[in-house]
Amino acid sequence: MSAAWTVEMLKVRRSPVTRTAFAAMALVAAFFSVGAAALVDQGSTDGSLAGAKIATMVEGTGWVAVSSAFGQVVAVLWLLGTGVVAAWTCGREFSDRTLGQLLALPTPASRIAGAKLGAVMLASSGTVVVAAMMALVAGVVVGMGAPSTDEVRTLAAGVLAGVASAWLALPFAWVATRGKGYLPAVGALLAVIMVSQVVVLLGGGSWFPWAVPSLLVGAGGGETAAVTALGVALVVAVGAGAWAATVRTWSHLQLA
Amino acid sequence: MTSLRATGLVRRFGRLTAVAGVDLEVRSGEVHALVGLNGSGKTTLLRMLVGVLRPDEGQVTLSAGSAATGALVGHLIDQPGAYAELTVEENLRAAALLRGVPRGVVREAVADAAAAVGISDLVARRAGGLSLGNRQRLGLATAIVHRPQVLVLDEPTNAMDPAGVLAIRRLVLDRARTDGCAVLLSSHHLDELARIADRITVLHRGRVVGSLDPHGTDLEVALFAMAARADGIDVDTRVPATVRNDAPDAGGAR
Repeated sequence: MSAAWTVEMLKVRRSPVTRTAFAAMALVAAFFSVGAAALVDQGSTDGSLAGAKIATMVEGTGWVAVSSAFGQVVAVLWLLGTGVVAAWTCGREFSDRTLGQLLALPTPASRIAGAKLGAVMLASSGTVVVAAMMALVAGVVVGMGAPSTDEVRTLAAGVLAGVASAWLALPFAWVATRGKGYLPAVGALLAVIMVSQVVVLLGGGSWFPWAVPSLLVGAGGGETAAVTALGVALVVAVGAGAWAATVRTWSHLQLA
Repeated sequence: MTSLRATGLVRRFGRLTAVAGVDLEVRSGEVHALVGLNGSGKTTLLRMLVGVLRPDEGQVTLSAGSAATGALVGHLIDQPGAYAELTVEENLRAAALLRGVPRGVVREAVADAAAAVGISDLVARRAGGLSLGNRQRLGLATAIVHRPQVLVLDEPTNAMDPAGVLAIRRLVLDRARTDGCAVLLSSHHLDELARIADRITVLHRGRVVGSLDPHGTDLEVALFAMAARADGIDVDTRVPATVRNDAPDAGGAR
């Protein structure tokens, strides 16, 4: 492992920001999905506004319901949580005035930026896998029995949606770098989440990269089939472009 | 043995010229002090010398012929760059790795740097819990953890207690006299500089306007007079320094 990777992984492991964000993401995704499915199975969603809302998010019963809720929560939560972490990991160097210690070193700043993004992706992807495993364990504990292969595959689609959402969060690292702090990136993140939710609700999200993970897990209802090769290509391109842009911007940074 | 040489350095921020053609040399084994009033361009100059800010004109070279890089140069400019969530030891380990210290000797380098600034007993503490003075010590340890051949320090004794000031004085002199390190430091504490500096260069409005004798008396008065003369103001350097009422533009002294 290179010096930059060692250091950035250490910072991700130690930081209260990343620890809190990833722990909250895993807990919410796992226990909300199992809890919502359990409520629907027991008919406890009848008669209350919250219950009605949960019922609209969950399709089917048992493990089908768990997978459905898991995917929908993860698609949004991983964009939000990973976006905050990605923005923070780059923006903090400006806000905490630690940037000067990262420039003009034998380890190029571009390599440090790559390590930052890689560490965030690794932690976020690992967390969504852990969240899925927690959901599986929790489902068994509440009496849903063992899931079938198809049900596990559906849950895996949720994991894929989480990884895609994390990948789509990388542009906010670039925004934080350009904005010299994490607050501009958090603003951009909130704007993208709001726009993508509206786009999905209007049923036109297959061309909007940030809506694709939600469509992948069926958040658009009948729009699931509308996930196109173009949409997937856009997801890949947005993350890759953000990675390249962030690394390039870091390679030109100076302490002005 | 490496020395640092700057030639014709210029840096502008919009219409403001912060550094306006500075030539400077820091020789191996020498403690060179840079002084100036607030806004004189010291920090901008130091940033260019260590390579974290690119000059608009001019160049910085080491005697080996290479550009200034973090492998040979250690610096502490602005506030110490410590990560609050990491311990002192982890901060130093990270700094050592990024500065090219081989993994096999990182532990030893970290212990040496911590001991050199007197924070060996704090290595397990999180940096976020350190006092301002100890954070400054950590910043200094970060600057020397890779045993650089050139050391650039901006206000190194900021926030330090007298014990810390003595420790830094010993450290600077030891690195210069024993290791042959070229040391450039800036400070407003001229009495402190007088104890350790071999040369004192005065920067004013982005230009080198002269030098002070470290063994001279009333360095503050001499500095103020030099800056005022550079602005075309005649001053009386007898203590206390006052702007003579008959000096032209005396009312415009800044």
